[in-house]
Amino acid sequence: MQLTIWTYEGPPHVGAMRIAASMRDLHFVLHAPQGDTYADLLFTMIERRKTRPPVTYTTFQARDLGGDTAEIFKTACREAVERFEPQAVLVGSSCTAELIQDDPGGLAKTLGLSIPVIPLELPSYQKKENWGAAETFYQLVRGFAGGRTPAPKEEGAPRTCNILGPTALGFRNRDDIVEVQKLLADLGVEVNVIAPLGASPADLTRLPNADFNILLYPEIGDQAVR
Amino acid sequence: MDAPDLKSAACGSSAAEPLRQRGQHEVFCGLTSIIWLHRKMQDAFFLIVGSRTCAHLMQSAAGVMIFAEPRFGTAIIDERDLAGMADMHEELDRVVDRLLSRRPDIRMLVLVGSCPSEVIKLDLDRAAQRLNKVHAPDRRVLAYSGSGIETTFTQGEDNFLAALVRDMPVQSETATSSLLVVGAMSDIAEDQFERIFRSLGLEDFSFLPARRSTEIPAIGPNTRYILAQPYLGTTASELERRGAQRIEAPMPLGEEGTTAWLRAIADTFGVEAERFDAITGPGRERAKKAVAHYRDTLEGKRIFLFPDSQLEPAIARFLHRETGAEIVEIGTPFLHRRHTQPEFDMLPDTVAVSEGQDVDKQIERCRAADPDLIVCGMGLGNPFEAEGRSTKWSIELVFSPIHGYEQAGDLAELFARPLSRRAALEVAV
Repeated sequence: MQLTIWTYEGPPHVGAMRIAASMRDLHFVLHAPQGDTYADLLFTMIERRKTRPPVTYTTFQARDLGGDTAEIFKTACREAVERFEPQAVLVGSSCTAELIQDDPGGLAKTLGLSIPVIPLELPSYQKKENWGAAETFYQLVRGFAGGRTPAPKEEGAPRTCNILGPTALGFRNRDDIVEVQKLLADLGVEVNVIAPLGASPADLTRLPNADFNILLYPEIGDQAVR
Repeated sequence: MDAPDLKSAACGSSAAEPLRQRGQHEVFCGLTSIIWLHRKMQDAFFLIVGSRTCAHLMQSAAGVMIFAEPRFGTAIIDERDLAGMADMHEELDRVVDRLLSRRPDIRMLVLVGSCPSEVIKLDLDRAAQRLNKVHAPDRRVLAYSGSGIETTFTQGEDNFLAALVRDMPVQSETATSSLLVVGAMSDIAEDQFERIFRSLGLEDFSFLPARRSTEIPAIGPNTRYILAQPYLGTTASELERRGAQRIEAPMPLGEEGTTAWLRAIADTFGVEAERFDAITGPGRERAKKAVAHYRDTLEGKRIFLFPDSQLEPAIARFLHRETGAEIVEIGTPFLHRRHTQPEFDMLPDTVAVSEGQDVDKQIERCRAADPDLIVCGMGLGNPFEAEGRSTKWSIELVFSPIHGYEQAGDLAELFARPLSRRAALEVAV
């Protein structure tokens, strides 16, 4: 137990939210009590994005414990997929849900959803926000780009690269992308995919087509690049 | 419960039969109350026993700038504690000893339970008893739960005040009747009420929470209490268990609410009607004039209130009665029937009421109703603004001085401001 007056990083599920909020057509179903919804305002107030982040919380209460928290998760997950129609869904637990051990990944599987489910293990009592973001991005890249072979390339086609690591709530990430793209254009290099910021799960499947990666933010993208 | 028809769902509801929803709740947990409680009680330290999420909530949701000597913090439970490698009570004692030895200014330490500490059943009441043996009487140690699995936002204050009531000394049997005003208000509003009470001839009155932990009053069957905040159900039960009797009144918000609230007190303590009118008259006039200033902006405007602090019925009553606004839906996280009855008595029976939340469905209802102003939390505000709708952050209602006559105009202005701003922007375009 440690006395903390100030914490620079949030818990790992906030990192996972940053990846979900960075991407398009992706939804995150988080098994968490109602108070954890405060994290929405990181995006609506601090980042000032125009929409709520693509996150559904189960918001279970004390009276649900020992009863039907697993059922609450399944309902929330099914309804979120119906409502938001994402290409893929991330599922995971916040610190409190981790203690009740409902296994969101296993529960989501039983729903027989028609889209890919990426289960996340986010050990809240060991790790922090950047680790959670890196792990989430890694799981997504592994799930969508892992094992794919690059598309055949035409002779003389320009060199292409991926820009990896920029996220929602990342410090000056949007400006950096603009600058790096300008530099690449001067060098005659084309950008294949920028991820996670602005990418969809389908875009991730095209990652292997690039000749090389630019790892702009190692704290987020390092694990995925390797 | 599913809404059968988006447009009419909440319209079929009422205070007697609210629309009850059990879906995603987009609300703060009770820990958030610490943000105003630590400012109110100036020698108390609130120690959350929880996770990194709790600490992150406090700094990011609160938007709190922490400088040198904050009076709240988090004892973060880690893997060693959960794996049983460390005894959690010993760990807590260590953290508390270190904290108290560094901070001689702290006279009351409050252990605050969180979702994780509740789930693992860490007994903080027992910890407080143990720590009191070491630190009392110089420092008192209390415990309450602000966990999000049990409390919503302002209910954290409710649990804290209930813990204070349990700790209050017993009033002597010969004590004359005394007044206890319950619920954290701004200091400025409290000072104004204090002056009014004195002018009315009341001598024995106190406020809960007090500004210092050493000023906690005694309690007994001769205590008459009145709520200054509507979200204090647990505290009220605890007060009544200690023998105190409730004075029923609407909340002291707006001219009408404040007058009814003061009149209930005056009647209880036998203040003559003439004296009451003479003392409250000037304040009433000032409040009416100040609110009238915003009536043009608010009259006939349709207002939708999302659930947040349980202040919603009282605010709706003020907006409806004193500014002429039309209330589309009163959302509240919890509806305390007895405590909100005086508010609903002053509202039309047809007003739509929802308790609890299914946020996506409520957003759809709100869009379908297309109100002129949406009162909602910070997670929803900017997205609504991006849709071209006017919003007011409900959290301002717990941080701004809004109680009493002198603040009635400010309360109206809170809701008029986003409408005037939009009007100004439209003219500019």
